Amino acid sequence: MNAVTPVLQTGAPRMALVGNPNCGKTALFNALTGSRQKVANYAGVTVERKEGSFTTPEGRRVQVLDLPGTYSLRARSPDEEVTRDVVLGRFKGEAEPDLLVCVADATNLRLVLRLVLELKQVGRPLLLALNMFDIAKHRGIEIDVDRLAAELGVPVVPTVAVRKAGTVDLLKHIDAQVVDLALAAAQGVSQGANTWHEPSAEEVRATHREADRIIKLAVRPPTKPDTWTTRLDAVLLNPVAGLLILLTVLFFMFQAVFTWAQPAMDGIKAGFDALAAWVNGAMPDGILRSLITDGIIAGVGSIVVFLPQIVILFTFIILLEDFGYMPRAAFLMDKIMGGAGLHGRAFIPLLSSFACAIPGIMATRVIDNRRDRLATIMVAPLMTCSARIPVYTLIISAFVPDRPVAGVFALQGLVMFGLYAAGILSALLVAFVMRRLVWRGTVEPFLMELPAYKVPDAKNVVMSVWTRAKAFLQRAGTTILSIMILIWFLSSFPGAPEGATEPAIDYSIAGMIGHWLQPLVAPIGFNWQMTVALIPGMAAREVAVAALGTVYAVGGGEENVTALMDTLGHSWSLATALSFLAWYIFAPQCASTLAVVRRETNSLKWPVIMFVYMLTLAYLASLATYHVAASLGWA
Amino acid sequence: MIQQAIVGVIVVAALAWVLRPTLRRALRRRQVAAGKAPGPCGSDSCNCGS
Repeated sequence: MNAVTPVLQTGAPRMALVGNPNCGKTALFNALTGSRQKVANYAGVTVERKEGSFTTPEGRRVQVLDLPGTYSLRARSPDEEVTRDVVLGRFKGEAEPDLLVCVADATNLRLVLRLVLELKQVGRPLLLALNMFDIAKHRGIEIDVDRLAAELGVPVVPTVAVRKAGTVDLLKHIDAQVVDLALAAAQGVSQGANTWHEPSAEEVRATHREADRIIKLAVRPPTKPDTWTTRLDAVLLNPVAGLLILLTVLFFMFQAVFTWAQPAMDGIKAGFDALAAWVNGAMPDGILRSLITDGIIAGVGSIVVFLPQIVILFTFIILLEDFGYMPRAAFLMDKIMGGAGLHGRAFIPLLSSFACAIPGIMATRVIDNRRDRLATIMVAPLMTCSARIPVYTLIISAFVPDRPVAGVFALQGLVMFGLYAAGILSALLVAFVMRRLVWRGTVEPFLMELPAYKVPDAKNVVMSVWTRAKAFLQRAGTTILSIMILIWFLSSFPGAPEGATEPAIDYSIAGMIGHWLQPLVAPIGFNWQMTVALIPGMAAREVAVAALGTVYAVGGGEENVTALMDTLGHSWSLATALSFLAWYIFAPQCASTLAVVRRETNSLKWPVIMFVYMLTLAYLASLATYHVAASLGWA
Repeated sequence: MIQQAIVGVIVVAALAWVLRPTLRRALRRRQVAAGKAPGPCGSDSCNCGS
C-alpha cells in the first residue's frame, strides 16, 4: 500500500465535510462537486465513501470527501468511527484532510457547536458552513454570524445547499485557506498540533457549557415557536392516538396498493396477452416461438405486471418520509420495539426492509451497540419486502375472493395486511427470543432528532419513485429475463419421448429435479412444479412467480398471468396455497440478502445462522399451516 | 436448424448474464494475483493514490 502523504505536497488539497446527520452535508457536497464524484466503501468496512472534486474561483482544484454524519468525535457507531479516524488522520489508507468544513443545521446549532469545539482541537484549518440558513430565518431564529465567528474563532458562512446559495462565499473562504496552506507548505511551517483526546465526563460537560454560552451570545431564539409542528406532534406523538393513526396509515397504504393498482395491472396484463397472441400468430410453431411466449413473455410479464403496486407502495413511503413522519413513527414504535428487545433506532432499518432487506440491513449502521445491531440484522429479512408482493398477490388473487368486508374493505387487501402483520410479528418474536437466549442485557436508550414537518417536494417524490421503478424494471429485463430463459430451457429439454402420455415438462431436466426433491416438500403440501419454482426463487423471491408462469405454460397451460391464477386455482388446494404463503413469510429466499449480511457482519457465521433459522421456521410454519388447513377440509 | 442455433445463443447469453458476477470476481482475482490489476482499497496491492 502507498504511504500516507499529505496531498498538498503532491497534488490537490483535500477537504473533508463533517457535520451532524441530516444537516445537508451531502447537498453541499453535491452543490460543490456536481457530477464529479465517486462512491465506494472505506477499506475494510462497509461505510460509504463519497469523494469528489471542484475548482475554486481562483482556479484551484480541491478534492472533497463527504464524511458520515456524527455528533461528536467520541465515535459510537461504525460510521462515526470512520469520521473520527479520517479527521484525525488515523484511517489506514486515507490521507489526512488539509482542511475541514463543518456543515451545521442552522435551525439546531446547539448540537453542532459541540462538534465544532472538538474539531478546533484537531489543529486543522476549519470553516463552519451554516446550512439551511433560510429555514432558520423563516422560523424567526436570528443568528449573529459575525459574533458566532468571533466567539468560535473560525470563519462562518451561511449557506442554502439545496439552492446552491452561499457557495460562492464559501468557495472564497476555501480559496483563502488553500492559499494559506500552500504558503505554509512552501515555508515549511507545520500545521497546528492535534490536541484532541477522548474527553472525560467533566470535559464533555465543559464543552456543553461553552456551546451554551456561545449560543446565548450569537443566537436569538424565535419569539413565536413553530406552532404548526408542535400542534401536529401533540396528536401524532400521542401514545394512543398517534399509534392508532400510524396503524390507520399503514392499513390505508396496503388497501391502496391493492385497489388503486388494479386498472393499471389489468392494462399491463392485456398488453402482454396481446403481445403473446401476436407472436403466436406471426411465428410458425417451434422452439423459438416457445422460448419467446412460454419463457420470455410469460416469465417477464408475470413480474412486470406488479409494477403499479410497487409504484403505489413507494409513493406512500417516500411521501411519509418527506413529510417528516418516519422519525415520529420510529418514536411511537420505540416502546413496542423495546419490548421485543430491539433498539428504537431499529425501526428505520426495519421499515426500509419493507422495500428490500438489503438497504434495511445496511441502515442498521445507525445502531451503536453491536448486539442491538445484530438482532436487527437477523430479523430484517422477515419484514415483507417488495419482492414478496408478486408472490402474495398471485396467491391472494387466485384463492381469496374479490369481495368487500363490512361494505368498506377489500377482503384481498385485508389478507395482504395480515401477511404484512405476520412478517412484523414474527420479526418482533424472533428478536425477543434472540435477546432472551443469545444477547441478554438491556437495550440502550433511544435518542433521535425529530425534524420539523414540511410539505413533500413533488420533484423529489417523482424522482425517488422513478428510481425504484426503474430498478425493478431493469431487474425484470436483465436478471429475471435471463433466469426465465434458463428455466424455460430446463423445462423444455430433453423433450418427451415417443408415445409419452404425460406433459413434456415431466420428462425435462426441471421436471426430474422437481420430482427428485418433491418427497422433501410433500409433507408441507408442495407439488413438484412448486419445487422447480422454489429453486430459482432462492436467487430472488419474485422469480418464483415467473418460474411458476413458465413451468405451467410449458406444461400445457396458457402463458398469461390471469391464466396462471386460474391454473393455480384449479391445480392447488387452498391448504397448499396457504402453506406456500406461510413459506414465503419466513423463507430465506434471497441470495443477495445473505451476501449483504456476510459483508455487514464481516463473518460467515451470521448468514449461515440466518439461513438455517429462517428455513427451519419456513418449513415448520408451512407444515403447521398445511396440516391445520387440511384438518379443516381445505386440502 | 436456424431456430435451434438462435435458441442456443440466447440460452448461452442468459447463462453468461446470470454467472456474470461470479465470472467477473474470478477474473479480477486472477488479475490481482498476476499483478495486472490493483487490489481492493487498503490492501497491499492498492494503488488508489492515498
